[in-house]
Amino acid sequence: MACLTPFFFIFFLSLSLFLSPAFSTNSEGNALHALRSRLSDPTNVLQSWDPTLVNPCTWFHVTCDSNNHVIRLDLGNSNVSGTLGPELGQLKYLQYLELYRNDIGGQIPEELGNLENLVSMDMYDNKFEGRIPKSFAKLKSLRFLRLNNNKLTGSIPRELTTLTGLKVFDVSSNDLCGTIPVDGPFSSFPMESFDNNRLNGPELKGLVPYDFGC
Amino acid sequence: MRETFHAMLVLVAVLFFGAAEFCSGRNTSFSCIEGERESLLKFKLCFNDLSNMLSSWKGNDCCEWRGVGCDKNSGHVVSLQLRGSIYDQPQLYLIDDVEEVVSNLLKLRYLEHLDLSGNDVNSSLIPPSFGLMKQLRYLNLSSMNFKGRIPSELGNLTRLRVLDLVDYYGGALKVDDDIQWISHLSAVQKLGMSGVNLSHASSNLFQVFGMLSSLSWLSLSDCGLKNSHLTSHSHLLNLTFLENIQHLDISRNSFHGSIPIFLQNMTSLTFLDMSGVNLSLAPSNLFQVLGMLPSLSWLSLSDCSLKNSHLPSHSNPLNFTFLENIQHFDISHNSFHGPVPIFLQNMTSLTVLSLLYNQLSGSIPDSIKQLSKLESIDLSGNQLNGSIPDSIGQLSKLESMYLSGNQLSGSIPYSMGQLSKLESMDLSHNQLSGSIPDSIGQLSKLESMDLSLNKLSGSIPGSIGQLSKLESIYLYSNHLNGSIPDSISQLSKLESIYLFDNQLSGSILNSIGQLSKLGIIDLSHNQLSGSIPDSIGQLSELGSIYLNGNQLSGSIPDSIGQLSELRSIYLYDNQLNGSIPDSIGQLSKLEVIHLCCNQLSGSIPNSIGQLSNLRYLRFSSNKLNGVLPNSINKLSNLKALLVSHNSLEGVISEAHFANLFKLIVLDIGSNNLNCEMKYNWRPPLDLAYIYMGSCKFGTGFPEWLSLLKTISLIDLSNASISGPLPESIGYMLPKLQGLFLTDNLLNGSIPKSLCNSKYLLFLDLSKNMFFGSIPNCWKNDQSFNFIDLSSNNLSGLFPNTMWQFSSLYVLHLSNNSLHGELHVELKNLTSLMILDLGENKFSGNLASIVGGEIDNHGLKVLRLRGNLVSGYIPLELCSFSQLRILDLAENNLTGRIPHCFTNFSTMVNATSMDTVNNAIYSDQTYLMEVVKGRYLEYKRKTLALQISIDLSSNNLIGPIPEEVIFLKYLHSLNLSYNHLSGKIPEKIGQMENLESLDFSQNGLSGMIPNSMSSLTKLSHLNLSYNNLSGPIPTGYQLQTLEDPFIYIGNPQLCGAPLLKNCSNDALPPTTTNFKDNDDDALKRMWFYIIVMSGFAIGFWGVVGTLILVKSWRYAYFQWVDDVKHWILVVITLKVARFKKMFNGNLDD
Repeated sequence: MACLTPFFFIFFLSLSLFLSPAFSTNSEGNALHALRSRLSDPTNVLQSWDPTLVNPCTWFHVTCDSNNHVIRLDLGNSNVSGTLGPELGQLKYLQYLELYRNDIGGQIPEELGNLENLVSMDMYDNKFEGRIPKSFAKLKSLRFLRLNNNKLTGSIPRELTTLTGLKVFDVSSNDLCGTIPVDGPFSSFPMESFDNNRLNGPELKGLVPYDFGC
Repeated sequence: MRETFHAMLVLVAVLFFGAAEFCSGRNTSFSCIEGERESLLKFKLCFNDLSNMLSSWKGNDCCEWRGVGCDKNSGHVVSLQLRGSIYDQPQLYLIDDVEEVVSNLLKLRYLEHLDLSGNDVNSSLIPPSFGLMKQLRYLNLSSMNFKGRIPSELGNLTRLRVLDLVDYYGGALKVDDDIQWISHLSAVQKLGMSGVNLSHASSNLFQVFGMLSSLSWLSLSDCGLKNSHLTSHSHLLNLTFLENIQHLDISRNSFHGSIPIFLQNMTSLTFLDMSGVNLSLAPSNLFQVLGMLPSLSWLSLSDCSLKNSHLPSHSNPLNFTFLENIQHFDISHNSFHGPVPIFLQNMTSLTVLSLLYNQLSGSIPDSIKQLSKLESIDLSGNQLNGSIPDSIGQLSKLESMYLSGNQLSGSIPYSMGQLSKLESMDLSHNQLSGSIPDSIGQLSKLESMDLSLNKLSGSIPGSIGQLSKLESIYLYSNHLNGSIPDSISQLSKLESIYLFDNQLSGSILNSIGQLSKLGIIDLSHNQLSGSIPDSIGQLSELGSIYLNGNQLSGSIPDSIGQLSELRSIYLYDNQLNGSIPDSIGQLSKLEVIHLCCNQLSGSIPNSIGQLSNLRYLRFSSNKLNGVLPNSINKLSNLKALLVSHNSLEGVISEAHFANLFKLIVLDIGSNNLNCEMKYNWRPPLDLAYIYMGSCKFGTGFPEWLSLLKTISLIDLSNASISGPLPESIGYMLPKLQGLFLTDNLLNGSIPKSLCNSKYLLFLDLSKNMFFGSIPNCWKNDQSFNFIDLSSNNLSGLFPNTMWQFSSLYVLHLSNNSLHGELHVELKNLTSLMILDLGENKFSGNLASIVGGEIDNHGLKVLRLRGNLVSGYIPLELCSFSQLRILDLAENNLTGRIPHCFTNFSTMVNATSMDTVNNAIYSDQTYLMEVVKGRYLEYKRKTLALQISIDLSSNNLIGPIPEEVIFLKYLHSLNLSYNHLSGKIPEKIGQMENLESLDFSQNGLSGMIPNSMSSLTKLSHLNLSYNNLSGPIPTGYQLQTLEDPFIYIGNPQLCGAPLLKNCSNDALPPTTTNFKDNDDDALKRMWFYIIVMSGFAIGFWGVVGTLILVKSWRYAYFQWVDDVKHWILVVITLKVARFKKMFNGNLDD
């Protein structure tokens, strides 16, 4: 019996050779797999992201709804680094994008504005740089947006004042400039949310451009 | 081997120059003798001259014919120089009798020089009539495929100076006991008998050689000589013989023990080859003895079983002459260990040093630079470590350097660039790191560079383009990054490139088309991107191309059809898109095409049918659509056809396979095909692997399968097959190893004949409608690895004969109606990793089910979900220390959760996942688990990695054991729907990998521990319907879990996301960085005032805020300062512009 064991492995191997690499036709799985290829993952938190499965619903840190659409991506505090790419914008059903406390850098992709079901975007404590995408104004379901403790520059897009559902907005400890919006939900955010930037206080409409000082 | 080859070269060179000298003397003014011309023509007719060696043998003047030499005075033919070669030289094949050849040659009565070596006489005997050619001075019959006894008549050739009977094939020629005839060759100077079997020669062999007073060159390699030939008469040896011999090759004979004693008298010896002779018993002064030979300059003692004790030492020092004279020194393939011998540094005449395949350790000594005449150094296959000394650059004459297969580390010294004569460099299979020095570009003579299997990093230096002689480059299996330098396209002689298994990025340059000699290119397993350049079509010599395992995109260029020499093409595992070019049909020599796992779309070109040499076709896992072209039936050499996992549609019929007689592997599964083979179809009879999953048959079990007596694997999953399986299937397909019929409409009972399938390893009949009981006739000579009978209508008891499969890894019987008291007997199932008996009606007491000898069993999955198992959870359960998934949900378990779960060592400290398990969790294995509130199918990696406990829906009581917090690697914990009481463990936050946690529908009380907010991976939480109280903690991940249903049914809970606010006396939650906007009411109030006031941007609002909020005040005044400056700047700018305009107008 023991002599059969190596044969067994060869057999299984050939089996998987013939059968396995069916890349998921699922675009959400592809998008996540593309994300994986951009990230460096020293602690193997993405190890379970097997692109040969029909959908990513059993991958760790990924949650689907009953139609097998990805609704959560939970990679907070996961020791990953690298950058994000435009493919994340394909996760149309995503509600929670949790990437906080990692080492992710680069620009925040404009395409994240396509995540129209997004409720919460937590990217605090990373190394994101560049501007806050104006496209975030399209995130009509967004209630939580935490971008604090990054290296974001530029001004706070005025377009975000249209996000009437926004309950929490935190951009503290970045390198933002210009003035702080006062319209819409911004009327209720505490000042700590804007601390440690190069922001010039509340916007005084008409007097000076909102990106004054940038 | 190498030694013989050297000997061969020397021999060939000597003979060649000898011949050239001979021929140059001929005078062309004489035409040849007519009789001799006729003899030559008859001679020619004896051979098949396929390679046209004798094509010039026509016309009258035979002295002008190729290889014929005439005497300048008499016009007689005196020399025939017709050397053939088994490699690239012309060669004659004997088609007539060899006697006829000799009889024609005998008519050339003045022939003195005859060289027929390397032609093929088809295992003839050497005719004795050769002995009649008494005028011969030179006779070369080497490597002619002669066999049998060498006729003693050759002894009549007393004028011979050179006799070459070397037989490179070895062993077919022999001499018998009587060797006296050799002694008659009194004029012979060079005698080559290597490869001739002399083992039966009488023991006075060397005495006989001793009589050849002119002999100076003797080659007796691989002659089967024994000790008896050497030693017994050595004292009788004639002194002249010993003194005259200059070249002695006695390598590869069966002498053993010591060196022949007569050697020390051979004072003229310059060349001595004793390689392959066992000298293990040689005295420790071996080298001193050899050192006595005053002229010795070429010495090979390769593979002589020498040890360190044979090396010169203080007590046995080498004499100066030896150290000074030796030029070629080969002591490879011995057992020398320790550092590189120090005496080498004094061998200052060395040109060739071979120390390969010993066990030398330590570093390469710096003193190597003293060997300034060195042309070749081979230290490969030792255990040398340390770095390559910088001083190696001083070996200015070095032509070849082989240091492969050691443990050399550090970087390649920059000084290497000084080796201006280096032609061949092999540093492969070491631990070299750092980048490849730029200076490598200075090696202008380099033809072959092998730096593979090291740890080299950085990019490939652009200077490599200067290596204009480079033919092959091996840099594979390193850590090289950056892009492939453009300059590589200047290497016009390059024939092979091996850069696979690195981290090279960038794109493949278009200029690659300039490498016109390129025969093989392997860039696989890198990170190359961009598209495959069009210019690839210019590589007219290309035979193999490997670009697999990169990130190449774009389409496969049309120009690929121009690669007329292409035999294999590997482009799999990329992101290639577009369609497969039609031009591929022009690749008439193509044998292998592997395009798997890309994004190729469109249909498979019809031209594919033109590839008549194709053996292996793999287009699997793309996005191909359309039909499988009928032309595929012309591929009569095809052995493997793999097009699975595409979107092919249409009908597969017997027409597709009309001429595919050699087909062994057929993989068309996972498409949208309909399989409509006739019931009486005769499939290719060698078919051994059939994967036709998802191909819709719509019939019963195909009858033609029964013709495939040698089939070993059938996968007809999800193929709309209905009806019963043939009762005799086990006998019908005797070689069957895997039978995968999952997800069909099969019914009837599972055939008992499967108990007779001796080779069956994999049986998957899941998701069908089989009924009746599972056969219980399994035999212990069966060695199943995998059995899945889940999701059928099977009833009856557990088949006890299954408890004997010691190689069974996976057993799924879930989702049937099996019943009875269960007794798991894992004693014999030592390999079992997955035991899934869920969703049946098994009863019994858990304590007796899992009791018994199960200590340290390797079971990784135990699933009894949805049965009628009762009793308490026994402590024995915890002895399954490797358990990764424990699912006992939906049973009638009672009692408390034991405190022994920390014995589940995988859950406590999952080390790295062992890859062996990965193989077990293959495609065929899946498991249904409730995780994150959903019934999910875990497969492959996610199954291999999943770690979970589900005890939900039982009648468990008591508290959640505090120890549960140590199960740090648990991804999912479900204890819902029990009667658990007490508190949630305070330190639950330590279970840092938890993604899914369900404690709902119990009687848990107390507060929700704050530590729960540090479960940063948590995405599903359910604490509903308990008696929890107090504020809901918040922060980090918990702030993303804001569905009130998580907490519903706990009337005393308060805080977000519940609507009920916490009263003041409730303890405030310790938040982390979540900034609650309740806590700064004052600022908010002022904000409202600002926003609502008629002064939208009003003065008072701002000033009011500034008065009351200190932090704003500073910011504001800073801002006012800035605004002041800004206004100033704006005004200045406007004034300036105005002025400019004004001035400009004036200027006009």
